[in-house]
Amino acid sequence: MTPHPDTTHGLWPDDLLDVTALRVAGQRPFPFREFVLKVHSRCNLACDYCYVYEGADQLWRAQPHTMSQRTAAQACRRVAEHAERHQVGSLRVILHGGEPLLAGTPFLRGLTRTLREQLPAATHAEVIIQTNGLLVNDDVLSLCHEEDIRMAVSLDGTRAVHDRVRRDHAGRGSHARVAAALRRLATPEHRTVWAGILCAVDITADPIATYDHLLSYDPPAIRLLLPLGNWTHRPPGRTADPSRTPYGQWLTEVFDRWYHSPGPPVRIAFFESILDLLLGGVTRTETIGGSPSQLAVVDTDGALTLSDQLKSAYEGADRSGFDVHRHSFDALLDHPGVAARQLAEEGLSAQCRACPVGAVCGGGHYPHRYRAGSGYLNPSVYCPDLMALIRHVADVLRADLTRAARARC
Amino acid sequence: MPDLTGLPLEQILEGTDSALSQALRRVLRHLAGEEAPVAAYDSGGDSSEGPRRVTTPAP
Repeated sequence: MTPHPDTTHGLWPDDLLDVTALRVAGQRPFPFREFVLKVHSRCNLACDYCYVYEGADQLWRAQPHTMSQRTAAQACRRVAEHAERHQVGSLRVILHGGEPLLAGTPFLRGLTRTLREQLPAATHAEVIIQTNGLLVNDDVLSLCHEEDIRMAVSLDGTRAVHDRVRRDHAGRGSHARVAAALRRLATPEHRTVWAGILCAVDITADPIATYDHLLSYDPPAIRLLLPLGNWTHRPPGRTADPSRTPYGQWLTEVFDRWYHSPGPPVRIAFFESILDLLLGGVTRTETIGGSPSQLAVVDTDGALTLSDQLKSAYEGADRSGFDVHRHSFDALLDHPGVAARQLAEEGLSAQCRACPVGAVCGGGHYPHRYRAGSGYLNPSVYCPDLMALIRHVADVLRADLTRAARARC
Repeated sequence: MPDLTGLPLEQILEGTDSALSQALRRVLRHLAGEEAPVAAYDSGGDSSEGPRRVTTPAP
């Protein structure tokens, strides 16, 4: 059976995607290659925009604070089982929260060791801690060096920008503490365990000042993250007027600075992926390009969820009903919420499939497509912004390639 | 989509370490058969290429 993504009755994908029929028709799932483990469900920051604590979904309140040893061990067994079954050569495990460093270094060390001990010999596991940076200290850095873990740190820009939203529970800004952590990670001694900076885009901030500030730490990579929002709960400044593209303009300014800078550019997967897709390549981020999702998330209590970022849509949006104690990751592969994100073009709205930049955009980031009443079968709420950015990048690329062609003559 | 046909790709690749030349290298590696990367969850880092996408779905 072919899915009917243009159906207008019911919610996509839960009500409309018949996964059994899909499998009978020959559509096979892609095994998971990324596993987000929510090792701690609380945070030592209280960021205004946090999708875990400040969004529609408040189920975090029922979660244990820290993942139990039993759940961690079982999650590792399930990852290993999946890797064995699907002969996965490499995978990535992201230790996440809340704030994962609140789980403590002994727990994180034990989990990482258990994971690697359980995995088949032929499977390489990249382990990353995604942290707000406040608890980075000698113990944490030793953990990373000794256990081959890399650390990614969240920083939203200059002190004024960052501290406006990323404050602790006492209302104090966190920039100074994060900056200190980044300066340590930038030293030759620790650079090998630094994965990069994750920056949530704030369009009220000057884009170049933000980018230059991030660059001032000399990060190996920057991830630019559009705020989680959708058609029902619009992101800040993303009005219903499609002629206004504040995120497109912000990203365009940063792209131009990045693209035209001399020397090897810092790695920005979002920009790299747009360039690669325009040149006939593939994406490296789930936020653009529409490649099949190979992500599974394990909540602190062991629940298998679709993606924690879906919490931004509605309460329970990320729930699957499965958990590591009773179910394998293979069970999750056949959940409509996973199958839909592996359909690529067939899982896109009619508008996206007819769009001239649809092959590059790929519908954007899945959580951004949600609209109450229809589900995820919509363009991204950032559609006008993505269109503006992609067209700009295509123009820049075309001009550069034309120059190169003329230089040959 | 830009048309790469007939472009002096060697010159573009050799001349600089620009965003364009690096993109072309990645695309050429992909076209030569390198497995595609996983479309990654947005955690902070991307200094390695990360896991590759299995091009053959599960049995």
